[in-house]
Amino acid sequence: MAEIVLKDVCKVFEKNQYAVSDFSLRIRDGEFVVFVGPSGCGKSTTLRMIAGLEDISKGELWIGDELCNYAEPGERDLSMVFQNYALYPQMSVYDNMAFSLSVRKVPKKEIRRRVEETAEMLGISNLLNRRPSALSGGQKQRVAIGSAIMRKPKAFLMDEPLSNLDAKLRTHMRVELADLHHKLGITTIYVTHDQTEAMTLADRIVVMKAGYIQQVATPIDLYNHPTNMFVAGFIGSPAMNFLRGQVKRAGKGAAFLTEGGEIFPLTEDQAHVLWPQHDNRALVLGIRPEDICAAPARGKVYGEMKGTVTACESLGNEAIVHLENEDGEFAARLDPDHGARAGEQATLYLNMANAHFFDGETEQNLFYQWRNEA
Amino acid sequence: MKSFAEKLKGCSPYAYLIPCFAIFAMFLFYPFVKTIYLSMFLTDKLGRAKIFVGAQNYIDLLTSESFYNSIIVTLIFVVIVVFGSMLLGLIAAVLCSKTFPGIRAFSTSYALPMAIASSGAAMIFKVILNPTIGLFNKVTGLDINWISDPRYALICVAVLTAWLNSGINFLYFSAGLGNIDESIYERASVDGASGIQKFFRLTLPGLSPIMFYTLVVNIIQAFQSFGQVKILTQGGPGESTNLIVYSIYRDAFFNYKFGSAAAQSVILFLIIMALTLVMFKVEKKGVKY
Repeated sequence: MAEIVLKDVCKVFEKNQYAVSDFSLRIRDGEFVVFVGPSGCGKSTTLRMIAGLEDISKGELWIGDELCNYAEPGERDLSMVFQNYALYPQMSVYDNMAFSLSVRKVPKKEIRRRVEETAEMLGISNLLNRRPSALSGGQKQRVAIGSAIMRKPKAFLMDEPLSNLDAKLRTHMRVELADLHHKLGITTIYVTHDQTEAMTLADRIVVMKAGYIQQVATPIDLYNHPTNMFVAGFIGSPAMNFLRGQVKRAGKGAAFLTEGGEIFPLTEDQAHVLWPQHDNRALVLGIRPEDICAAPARGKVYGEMKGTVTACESLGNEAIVHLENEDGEFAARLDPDHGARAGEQATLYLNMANAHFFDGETEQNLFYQWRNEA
Repeated sequence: MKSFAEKLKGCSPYAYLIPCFAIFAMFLFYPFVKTIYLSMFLTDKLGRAKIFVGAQNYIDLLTSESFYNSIIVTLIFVVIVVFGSMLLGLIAAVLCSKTFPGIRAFSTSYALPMAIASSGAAMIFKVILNPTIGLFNKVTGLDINWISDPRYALICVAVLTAWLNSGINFLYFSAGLGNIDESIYERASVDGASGIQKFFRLTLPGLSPIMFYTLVVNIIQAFQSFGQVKILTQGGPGESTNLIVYSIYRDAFFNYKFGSAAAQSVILFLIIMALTLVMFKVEKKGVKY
């Protein structure tokens, strides 16, 4: 077990194409960190640099107290779970799990003890004599994880380990992974493009885009205080709704005037920050689907929004209502008995206290800066 | 009752097979049956069957020292050729499985022996191995009459054949290596396996399916080597390189003993068939997929 520190790590492919730029992160001992982002954002490349499968172009990688930029993958004492499991096809499950120990010349008795112990823990004791081709996806996944935890490495690296499983199994394995991490307490770096996995598993999430870290935060912090529009739109499903517009003076306070001509009143705090510094500047209001409701509660500031319902997705416990008006398309998370029907006009209410405001040009969260200054 | 048209329709699948069967019949089945037929006759100089002798040709062969010598020489030759050509092909394929500048030039040169006619290669080797003006003796400083010395002649022919056959093996192994999932090597690196461990524990087992196929093809090919013997040693010195196929050729077209040559062909066929059957039996146990 060890702390992993990355300092200004870059990956440059030919001719100054940066796949990863200035990646700096301190991963604490025993922490579960998830790299998340759209495909091509450099999350897997970063993981592979930590594993030693890719060279580090610039920057430093420290594992424990050692600078590991030039260490061979095998010397770093990490273990990795691959997206396609990467089981050795000619070996039995037992040999697959024993491989990392047997190449290190660990005594056979010790290997047998550890394989059996690990297999027991993962519930795959009955599969030890099978070959990978005779296993189902979920079983292969367990074997891959088993092979990784056999050695008690300094850290686990997991590259989209659940993406080849079906939805139900994925949920199940997610819970097991969380449980496993709790039991073993080994530093884990986990790459995924699935935000649910990121939110449920992570101690901290690293959101990446185009090779740059966008934000590093706990799941809750990331959800409630996204640093920019990218993070805000990436985390949460359905995604956050965005409305372009400007802040205007309205009576004693201020209001947000959308490009479509709707006016939403601002809370006192918001008015205080946004007016008059951001007067006449292009802003973006972000509101999550769950902060839009069918009927306003008392004592809160609400913005009234009208639109045509384009679709209703009923999920049983809730319904996702899609709306369209001059400002664009929106999704609202409502009670299943909201009564809206596709094609009809509907009026919904935005809970302004939970609205986010972004700079229209830089896309930065205006309140994130304010929060950090305060 | 089925109408005539319907019956005809039922035959149509077989009709598609006719062209293929016609060619097989002409070039495979007929010669095959004819060979067995000839092997039971004494023939005239034009190869026409004249006197039926039954198994006498076989009995003569099995009591002939020369024939046993042929079989032993052939077996030694096959072992050297198969081992050598597979090793060469494997090493070349593993070297070329990494990408580096100029890889195509290397790949082409390793696959090239496949495109060279065996007799042409034999001519070149003949010059290289010439005891007085040959490149090989000049470079190594040795003074050995490679082709005329019974101790070395067989090895020379075998090494030449191994090199000739290595081209196709290189292709087979390259294809086999391409089928091995790259990520298992990555996992092995992270697991701490060395290059040698990866080769013996991942690459070789990963190649086992294609290895078996290559082995069968190589053995059959080695048994049938002819051109290089004809050009380089003509079965000599003495009978030290008198492989079965060359012996068949010599009996048929020099000694005009077509019956005996046919009998040797049948025995060669039986040997290759038996070996192939044994290998397929073993394959079921040995090959790991």
